[in-house]
Amino acid sequence: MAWDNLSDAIFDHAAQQPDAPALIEGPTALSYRSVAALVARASVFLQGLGIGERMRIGIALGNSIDHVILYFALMRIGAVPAELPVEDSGEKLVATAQRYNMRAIFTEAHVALPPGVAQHRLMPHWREQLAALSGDHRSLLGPDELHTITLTTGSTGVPGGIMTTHRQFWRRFESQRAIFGAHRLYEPPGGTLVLTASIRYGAFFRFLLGQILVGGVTIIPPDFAKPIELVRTLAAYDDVVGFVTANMCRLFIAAAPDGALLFPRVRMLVAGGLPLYPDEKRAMIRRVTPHFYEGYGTSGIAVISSLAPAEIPAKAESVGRPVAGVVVDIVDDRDQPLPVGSYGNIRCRSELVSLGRCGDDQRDSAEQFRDGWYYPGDIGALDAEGYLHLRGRVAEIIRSGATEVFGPDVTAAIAAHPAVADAAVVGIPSPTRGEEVVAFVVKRGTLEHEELVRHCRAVLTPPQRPERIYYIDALPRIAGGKLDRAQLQSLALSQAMRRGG
Amino acid sequence: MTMDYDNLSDPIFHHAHTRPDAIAVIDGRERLDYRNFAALVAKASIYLRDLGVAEGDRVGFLLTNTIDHLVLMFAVARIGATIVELSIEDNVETLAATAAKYDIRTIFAEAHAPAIAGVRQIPVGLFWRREIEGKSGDHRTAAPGEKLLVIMLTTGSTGIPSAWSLTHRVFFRTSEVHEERWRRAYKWDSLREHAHFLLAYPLRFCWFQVLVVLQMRAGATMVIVPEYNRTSDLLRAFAAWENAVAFVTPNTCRYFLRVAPPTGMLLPNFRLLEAGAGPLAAEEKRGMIAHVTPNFAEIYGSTGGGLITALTAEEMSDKADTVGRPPPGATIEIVDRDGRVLPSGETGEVRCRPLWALRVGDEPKFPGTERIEDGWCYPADIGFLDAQGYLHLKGRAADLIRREGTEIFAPEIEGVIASHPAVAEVAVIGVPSPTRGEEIVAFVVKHGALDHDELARYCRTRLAPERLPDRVFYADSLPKLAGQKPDRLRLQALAAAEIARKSG
Repeated sequence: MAWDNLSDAIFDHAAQQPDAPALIEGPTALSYRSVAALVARASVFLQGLGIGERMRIGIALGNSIDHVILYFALMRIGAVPAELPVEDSGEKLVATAQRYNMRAIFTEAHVALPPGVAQHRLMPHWREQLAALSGDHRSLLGPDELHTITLTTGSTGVPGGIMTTHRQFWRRFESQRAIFGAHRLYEPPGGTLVLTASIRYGAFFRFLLGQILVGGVTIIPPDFAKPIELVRTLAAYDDVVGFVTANMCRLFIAAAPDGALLFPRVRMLVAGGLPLYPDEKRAMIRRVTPHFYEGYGTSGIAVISSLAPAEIPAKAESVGRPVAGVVVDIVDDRDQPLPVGSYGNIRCRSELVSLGRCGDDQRDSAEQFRDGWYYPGDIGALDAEGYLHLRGRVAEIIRSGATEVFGPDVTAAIAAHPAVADAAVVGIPSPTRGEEVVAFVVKRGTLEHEELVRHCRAVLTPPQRPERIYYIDALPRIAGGKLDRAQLQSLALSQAMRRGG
Repeated sequence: MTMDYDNLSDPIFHHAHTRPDAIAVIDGRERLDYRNFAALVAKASIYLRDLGVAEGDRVGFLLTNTIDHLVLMFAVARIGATIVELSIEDNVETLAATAAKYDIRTIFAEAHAPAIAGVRQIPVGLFWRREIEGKSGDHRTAAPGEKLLVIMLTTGSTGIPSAWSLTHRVFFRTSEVHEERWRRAYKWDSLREHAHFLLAYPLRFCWFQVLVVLQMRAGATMVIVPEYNRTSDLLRAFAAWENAVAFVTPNTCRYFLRVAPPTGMLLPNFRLLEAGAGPLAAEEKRGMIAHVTPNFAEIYGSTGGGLITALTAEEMSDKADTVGRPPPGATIEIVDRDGRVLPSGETGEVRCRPLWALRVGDEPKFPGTERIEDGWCYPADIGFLDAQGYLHLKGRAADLIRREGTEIFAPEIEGVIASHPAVAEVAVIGVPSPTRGEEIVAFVVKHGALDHDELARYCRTRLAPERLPDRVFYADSLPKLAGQKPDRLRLQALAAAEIARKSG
């Protein structure tokens, strides 16, 4: 059983349990009845703006109740919502919107976009504005015709766009319910979801959606300037469920008290995004919460494998086993299956896989949908017990401070110097900045370090500039010529430790 | 003057006896009444004693705003130790140097904070209250309010902040001045009935310590509003509370003006919204009254002089081009370079009294910073008084650069750059920046060969990161005014043109 339109769930809960809390933001709590009424009115509001079925609409907003209502109203009228980074400049937002043929962008009230795309500002009193409207404008499109677009991070110019149907989201929800069944993730009323990051990141949206599908409550914290405030928010509620990033896990471990759990009241936490180190996973179950999972997934499929708390002591160096409904293969560059234990390209087959890239996006990318398979673009191996081990990811994102640095951008900029023969960039955990950018360079002829630093300063933004540059004779590579990031990372870490000590 | 309390913590205990169930602090999901707040402060006073913190000790705080932070702060006051709020943004080297310079031996810090050399660092984690659970009793100092101190740090010259000391007595006197001012301006009989004081900025900014004391003295409710990455979240938090009282910066006002509805008020729930810590244009102030809240006021003050002038909502229509008049009990004068008092209408340097805070350590050597002289406070501002006694501000005595919320004093950066042997001349100015408020731009005249990287390295080892120039332009000579001082206006125009050329 499944609803046709994902927004239907809100209306069903409004009928079944009208007073159950749905969304909480600061001192404001809205019941399912109120949220359904607002989504219905917002659908009429959108119609009034001329927004209709199959129109792609960008959303560049921070998390808020209004944002969630807008998103579900867009789905309700059959439009195609696409989350955009709220911190992007106006020029970049317009460029992305044009690239993906978006008809309009919703922004925060104070933002002024340059010309090129229709802009709708979400004003502070939007909900009061909606109160004057009535009716409901639901699309009759079916679950395979209703789409959303997820933009994957691409910090140079254009992000990649992936189309997913409402039915595929429903399948992902079912898969999630099965994976985390042991911790009653979606057993009504579904715990208390704390939304710890922007819903433009697929995993956070999926957790929000799951919560709404089961009629649970979601806490929407603001975008805190100090991450410790998020830790306090997670600790303030009972029976919390949540998706968290690797960097958040690092803060949890640092903030955990001696001899006690940081989150004794948490129902379950799932980490994903960038991988954690095995010691960090073990520290999470020992010091933060024993109900800790690691998930491995990408925007094109949501989830590929999952590592349960009970598996962490023995299998912390893996990202767990493929989840039910996902077939994982390891293949070489000619798509020939590799034996157990060999590293190669990961590919998956599943009903969870998205439709594919937006039609106008034919860029060469490691993440691919072809021949019925989905290639997340990552390198991995399956061991004899079926656990998946990763060796680097296609989205080589380094979280340096508050900024996401896309590793290949930095690599390309460094490699552009005539005296650089080969270069690679990795991120290593930093106690102060989340991760720091470390570059490995193979020289061609003579190259002064000062000269390369000058070059980096000229062509890279401050967060992109490498914190450290190491010169080596050759970059380590695995079979097939792919860079061995794991080895580079451990090299960088051991160098950093030597310098630190 | 009315009878007042001695110790900053006393009002909490007073309200705990007279109105125990009134809410003192709201932080996220927690609502703490005065009875329980006083109980926590008392337990924490014993905890501090057990830790060996003694009367007169300087105790640093490196914490975000939380109930635990307030409990500890008032407990430190209660035992007669000195509160020193540190900046959580500072790096560990600066913090260690600050602690050493001002003899701060104990610092309460977030549990995940890195270690600071040379101090006893006590973590205040999520479960800090367990540490005081078993304590009983109350350890209040007998010292009178004029002997008890709070130290405020302000942005300093070499990356290490400069320090000012205030007595508990002065805090209460200032609270009284504000209450009296509000009573007169807004006909408020009592602040405490249902008022929510929104604490939205770090406590190291002295106005916010005043706000906390004022609210505790009045017995009102403090709502802790965390810091956000985006002002839209701050606005949502502000709009959520009825009868709100808050203090904001001019930039926040500008944000409110941009998103205010064409009709009606952006913040109809506000009882009082006061702006300060920077100038607002007259039309901006009138816009605040027309579109944000009719209960908008402006205050002008300094660390040494405290509240110098205030402009009420009623005065905005006629006097929006001023920063108002001094509160009851305060005096301001305009003086010339030789300290002679100027008649109304003539422009000179502002000075005021009574003094609010005194410097700890030496007066700074740089001209143009706030100074105390012969019982007067000189906030280093230029202005004039009109016939009705309203103060018109014309600018800073020396160009102060406000970069990313930090006040940076141009001459100190000039001093560092000028000390490089290959620099003949330098001028540093602030240039408006869409992202940073202002950017630091240095104009350098070389003396022989000078590599830019070499100068950048030189600066990096001598200036705190927020003081490093964002751009350095090399010139053959600097435009000068008659007095041989660099023509800063001309330099600003040059810099703006150069930046536009480079980005275009």
